[in-house]
Amino acid sequence: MSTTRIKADEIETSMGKIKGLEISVGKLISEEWDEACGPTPEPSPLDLRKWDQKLLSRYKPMYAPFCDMCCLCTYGKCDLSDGKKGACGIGIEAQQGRIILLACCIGAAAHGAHGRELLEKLIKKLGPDHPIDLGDKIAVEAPMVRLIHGSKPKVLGDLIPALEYGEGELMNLLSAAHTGQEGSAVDFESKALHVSMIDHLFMEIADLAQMAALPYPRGEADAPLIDIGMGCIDSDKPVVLAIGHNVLPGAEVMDYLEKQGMEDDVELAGICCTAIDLSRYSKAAKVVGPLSKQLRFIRMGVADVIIVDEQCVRADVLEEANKLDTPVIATTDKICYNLPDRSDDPIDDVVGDLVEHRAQGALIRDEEMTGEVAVRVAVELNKKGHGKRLTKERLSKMATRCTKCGACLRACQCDLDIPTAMERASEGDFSLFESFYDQCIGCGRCETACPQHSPIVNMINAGAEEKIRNEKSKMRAGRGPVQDVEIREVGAPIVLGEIPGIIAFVGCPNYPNGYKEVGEMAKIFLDRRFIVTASGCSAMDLATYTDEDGKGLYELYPGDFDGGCLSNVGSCVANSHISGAAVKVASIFAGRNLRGNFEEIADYILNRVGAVGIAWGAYSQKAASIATGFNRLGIPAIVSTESSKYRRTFLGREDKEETWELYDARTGEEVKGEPAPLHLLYVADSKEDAIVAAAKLCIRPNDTSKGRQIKLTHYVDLHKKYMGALPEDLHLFVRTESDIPITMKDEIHAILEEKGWEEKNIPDPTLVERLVRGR
Amino acid sequence: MAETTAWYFGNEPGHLKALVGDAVQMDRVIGRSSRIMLVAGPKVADEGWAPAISVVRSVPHTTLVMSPKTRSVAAGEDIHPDAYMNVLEVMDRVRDPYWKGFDGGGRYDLIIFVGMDYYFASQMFSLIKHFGYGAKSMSLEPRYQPNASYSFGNLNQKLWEEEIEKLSKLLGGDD
Repeated sequence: MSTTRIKADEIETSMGKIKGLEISVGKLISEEWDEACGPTPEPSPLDLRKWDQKLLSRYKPMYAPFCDMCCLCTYGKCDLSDGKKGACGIGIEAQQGRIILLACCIGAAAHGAHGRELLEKLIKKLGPDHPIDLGDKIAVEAPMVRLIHGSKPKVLGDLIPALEYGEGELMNLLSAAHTGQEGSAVDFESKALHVSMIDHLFMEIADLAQMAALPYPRGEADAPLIDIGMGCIDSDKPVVLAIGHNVLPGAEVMDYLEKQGMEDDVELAGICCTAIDLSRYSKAAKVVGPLSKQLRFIRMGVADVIIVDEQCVRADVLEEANKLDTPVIATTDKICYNLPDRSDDPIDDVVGDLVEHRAQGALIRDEEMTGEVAVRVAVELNKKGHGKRLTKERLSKMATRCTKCGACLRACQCDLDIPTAMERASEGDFSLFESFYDQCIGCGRCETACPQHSPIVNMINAGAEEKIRNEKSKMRAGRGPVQDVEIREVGAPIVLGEIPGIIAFVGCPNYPNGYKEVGEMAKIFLDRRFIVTASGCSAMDLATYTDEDGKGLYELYPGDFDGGCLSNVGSCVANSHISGAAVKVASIFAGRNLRGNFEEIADYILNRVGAVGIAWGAYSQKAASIATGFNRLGIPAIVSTESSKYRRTFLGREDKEETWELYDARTGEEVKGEPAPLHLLYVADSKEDAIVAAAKLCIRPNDTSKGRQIKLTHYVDLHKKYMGALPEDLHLFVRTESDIPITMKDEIHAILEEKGWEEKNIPDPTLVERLVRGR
Repeated sequence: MAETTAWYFGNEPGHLKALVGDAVQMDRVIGRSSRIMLVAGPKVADEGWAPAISVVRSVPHTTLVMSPKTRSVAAGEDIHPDAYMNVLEVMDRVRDPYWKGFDGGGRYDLIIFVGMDYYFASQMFSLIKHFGYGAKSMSLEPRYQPNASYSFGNLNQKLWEEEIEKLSKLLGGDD
């Protein structure tokens, strides 16, 4: 597909002169794909609104406003409390839907813009005809593009029309958040679902582009094990630190190092998703960790130069780096920090200015130039020795200034007892600060609240010196998509329920009780032979969790997409491979057409594919759109109490029987369904709640009795272990006698009897009437 | 009752804020409520809430619902809740105008929270404030919760323990 424009000032033809001719052909489709197209290629929000309404009537959005006000236009501020409306007529419920839509638009825009930047640069370098070749084990290369856009991309240039379609949808949906547009919360939510579906399209485009162009693993389960942790960075060497999500600048650093034969002399370290993608690019790259390590690592003064690209980069990186005389190179138009654009200056001049601290940093829009400048500056500054690290003695003296005003406490969402730690540190005892290391999310809000400007983050670092030195483990490099052959192997056991579920750990590190909970949860499901997969910051934090022998989860469990295995699919944009895997189950295993066929595939996944996402530390707008995109596809997500600040959940009510009605696709009859999956977006109030909920949300109406037995075994067992009793809703998930796990028959029978349980038929479930056979 | 500032400075929702009360005023509010629901969150396990829960529970027409994680704490303290349920699932019922309560006796006019992280409780209070069909809410934690209808102010540990003890006595009919 391509866009063609013909322009002529004047043409002489047999019919006469034609002046000012301009012809533009939006798309030329060269059709080599014989799959029948479904009803919704390139869907508009209205094309899938009925599907959304089905979901939203079952999982009614529930809002917990963060604020009573609307501050979006000059009519306001408008107070929406107590049933009041704003000057534009909007009420509190619709306003919440509007904020959700805005968040999802921002999230999708971040991925879409990231995808466009990658695609344009890679096309410029390799040409639009560069093939998308993911190897012979991946034939369904772009499940989300096929499903949503209705095209089958073969070369990089084929991704442009899909991207343009998504950009158009995004613009349209964002416009609905303007004052005086949508007024219904349900329709705001439908639009949020739509733009979040687009987000999964954007993510897939971004990751496909980089996978096609860069030497990443191509779905191999045995992707290399990479060093991860603050302790794995050799601070005696020059260190280039890359922060953000766009791999291209960091990749050029690696290329420059290789070209100069300096790979062993300079450390290239990454934070956040750039780190994951650098580790896909080269196993010599090291991963410091997720974004929660950003401020702490900068404060350590280990980095000689910092490269920032885009997304989840602290707004004060330049300010923080300059305190340590560390220059910053900004590389994209998303983050410029008011730095001068030095892209056209001679490299020697830029290097000289940064090394001699004549400039705090530079904006360089040429990745190759960034690669050379970053390495040369890091080498020179490392020779000179720079930075003003605070010693423990100095920090101890600073701690004596604490007046115990408690402002830090009122800024710390982790409830860390900083005043007491400060008192002890003033006496030279940093042990309480050390204990904060694993709980602190590294936001630094405590410091900005402190009237004495105490460097509390440095104090935690100082207390945890030894811990940081030993913070070394292994993360499997992001493998990318699940291979088609793996889907063939696990498709039947997933759909029939014999693999108890797919648990995906996704999202950011804003954890209420420390990142260890994520590792603990993953291990529980791995040992129970669920398929466990991970992406982004969660994939990094899972690596940090180690057993008594110091072995990490990636070393203990294979990287396949199979029961009892842990696969890291990659960075944020690789989340599309998790949704893509669910879509591929419908396509490869069940033979359903993907092309422009969203509703049917989502209906299939909702009723048959027991997959659940756990976004335990989700904080960003991207996490909002990622989760909401999963939700539209019928995949529930579980978040922690922190994420109640997203303001909205999608809960089902097991006692509202009418909301669970569905069609039996065999007979066309409307039947009572089960409350499965019970919720679509659930806030677990504790780790234990999340574990039990994840097992329960894997239950699907289509499970065979054998599969249901397996799922119930896990649900009951985990409930007993973590909640201390049999689940009270067990009777809702037993359809027939054969669903009851053999080893639990007696205790389950007792409950069934108490609840007056009766056997139910097992339908061939669908929410979509047109999917009834014969219609 | 007066006003104060949210414990987290950034948590100011708008002008409609909780009235700040002490034990005596909380006792009065509880006393004039006809159907009370006490929601005990997952942190009651860590924070020694059991005695206060028992006392509030003993107030007539009070339903106790606890986070499922607290089952062993409840058993250990001989507390018998009316239901174990995730806090969000409880709120999903509170925002349902047709919900008849755990005992079928009708909606609750006062919902009290204990044992929850500050920010999570704040969100739940906001939910009740906007979508609770007139139900009032109360925080018994030592940190001011502006989204509730009634809250203690920002108290230090000692003062707060004294207030809880006083409230327990008042509710128990000791004064």
